[in-house]
Amino acid sequence: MDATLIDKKNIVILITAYNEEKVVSSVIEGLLNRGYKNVVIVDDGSTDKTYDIVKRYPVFLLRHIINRGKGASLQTGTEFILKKNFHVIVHFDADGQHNPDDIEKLVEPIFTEGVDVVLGSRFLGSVKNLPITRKIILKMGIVFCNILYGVKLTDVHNGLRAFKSHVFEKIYFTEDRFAYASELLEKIVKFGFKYKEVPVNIAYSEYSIKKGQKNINAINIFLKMVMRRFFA
Amino acid sequence: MLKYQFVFGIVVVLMIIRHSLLFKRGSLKLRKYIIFLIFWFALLLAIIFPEETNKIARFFNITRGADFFIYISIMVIFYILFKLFEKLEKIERDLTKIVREIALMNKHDDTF
Repeated sequence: MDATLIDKKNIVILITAYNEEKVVSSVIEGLLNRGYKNVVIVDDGSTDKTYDIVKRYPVFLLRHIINRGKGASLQTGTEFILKKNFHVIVHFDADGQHNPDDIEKLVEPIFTEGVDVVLGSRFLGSVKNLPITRKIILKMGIVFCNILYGVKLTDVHNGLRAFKSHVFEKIYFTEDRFAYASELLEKIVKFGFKYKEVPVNIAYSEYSIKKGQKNINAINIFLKMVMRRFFA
Repeated sequence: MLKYQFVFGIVVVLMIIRHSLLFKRGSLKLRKYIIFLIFWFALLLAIIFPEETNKIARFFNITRGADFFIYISIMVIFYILFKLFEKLEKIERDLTKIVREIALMNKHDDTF
């Protein structure tokens, strides 16, 4: 891939963080060191030192005064970004699971193929230390989403994605919590955006597994998906 | 009068007094007050004349008046639950909007 095709000045990285004081520094440094200077962090009502730590870095910081969830935080960050003039928005997790080196792979189809949305897939790429129960739930979610939305994806709840910013003139997250990921898929299909999956590398750690969403939450997401699909 | 009629009757009368006071204070709108009064008075009549409820129940092909009231109660409870859920969702959405507005107003440092 020709790296000169990718203009990092046009890319903004959107991170949502909730009580990530242990890892948020290394995540930000990883991005800044690779030349991603436009970083927006939404602190989702953290009760630890996340906000104070992020304040030290040359990034844009927004703060929810109380915790409202990942979907709500992404929407807040998106509304802020849309007032600026960026071509590409990248969603990146604050818990250290994502690899900043994957961002180039992620944004390349937007610059070269005119794709609107690029979804990272851990099952096309690599995934380290994924617990078997989480794997089963993720795979069930993939089958279910593919049937429900008529898509053919290999990963559906991966937080690493890239978008042409104009996509968010139509997509607005109404789901405050983790069900936003299904809402996103639903709306990508509904509005007919051109999408593509690319392989990415996810490294689960004891910390990120503990911090991530609980397996039982899958039931809640499942019910919300069904409600949205058939009753919304 | 049986014991249960006495106890349930007192509870219903207390509820009528409570809703009347709420209406007098302006905390309850006329429409809701009337609905509550109809409900409580119907319940009071059913408590005082339980055998009469059997007639209503038979009209709907239900054998006992008590069963009829249980079915009605379940429907009412589900309706209230649904309305509460709906209201809660709206409050959650409004809360998020407020939190978002505050976040966008108090942004820290403009590096762009």
